[in-house]
Amino acid sequence: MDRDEQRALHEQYLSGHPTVAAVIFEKIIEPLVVVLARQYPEIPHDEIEDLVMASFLHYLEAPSSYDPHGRSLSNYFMMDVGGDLKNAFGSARRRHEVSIDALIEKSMNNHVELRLLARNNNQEDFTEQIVNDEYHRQLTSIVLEALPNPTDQAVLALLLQGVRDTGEYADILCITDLPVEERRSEVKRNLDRIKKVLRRLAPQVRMGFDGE
Amino acid sequence: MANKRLRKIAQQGVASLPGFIGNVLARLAEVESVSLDTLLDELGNQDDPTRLLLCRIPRADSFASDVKTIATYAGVDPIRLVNLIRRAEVITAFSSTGERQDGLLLAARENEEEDEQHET
Repeated sequence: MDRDEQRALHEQYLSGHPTVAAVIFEKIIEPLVVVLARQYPEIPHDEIEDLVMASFLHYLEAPSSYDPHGRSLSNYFMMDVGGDLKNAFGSARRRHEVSIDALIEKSMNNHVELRLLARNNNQEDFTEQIVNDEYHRQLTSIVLEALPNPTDQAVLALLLQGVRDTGEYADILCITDLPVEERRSEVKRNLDRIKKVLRRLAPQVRMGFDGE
Repeated sequence: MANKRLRKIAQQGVASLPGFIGNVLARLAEVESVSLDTLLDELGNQDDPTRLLLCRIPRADSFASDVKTIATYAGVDPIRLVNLIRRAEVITAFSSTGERQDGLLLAARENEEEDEQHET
């Protein structure tokens, strides 16, 4: 679901469309919980669910809190919950720099100058970085805007963790019912597509940060 | 990607949001002293009512098509859905304004008194 589709959902919601809130829940909220649970393995899953749900309910009550001309709806929720997650988690963690280009390069032999900070154990943590650091806020914003689909973000989170198991990707992509070969092929197609987006993103990242 | 707990808290959360089917059914269940599951059974809802409860009530100016959209999306019987919504509307109309209830009671009492006078 791209940004325009998400904007359309928001507009439909404003117009009172009867089913769109449920669509937002299924297409954006549920995948977002998966993304955040992977990014914040230290935070109890229930707590993440509660925070995301509070954000969702707030949106349902006051949809004008979201500016459709700004970030995508999924990123709005992610940013909204990010601050709460940061509070929940605290700021006492050490962080290590890791380059996702190494991960990308390993899998597709293509250098990408896109760097993200990650916390211990190579767990990527977009949201906290957004809050803590302007550099990461901008960098994360670029990445998330390029991949507005929460499912894509969940796949990216797995990719950044170095997950190689097709089953985990299939689970995120909701294609576990497909025959093994089709499943592999579909996972590969999605990974290739996401890597392509990241490749395209590299010049923007360089321009935005290396040229400072 | 269905997450049972998340769906459950979505169902609970939307119960307090006016304008949602979840809220309508929660109020109806409370007033009629039945469980939400009873009402869902009445609608012929499947195992997971999340879709239905997260739907907004049909808009007045497109009531029929909205009902159809909701029924198709949530897998419920449209006629039964309309019946429940109408039932909830009636109950809300009376329960939300104490004055109306008082007025009705007063009118009923006056009628009773008049009847008694006629009898004597």
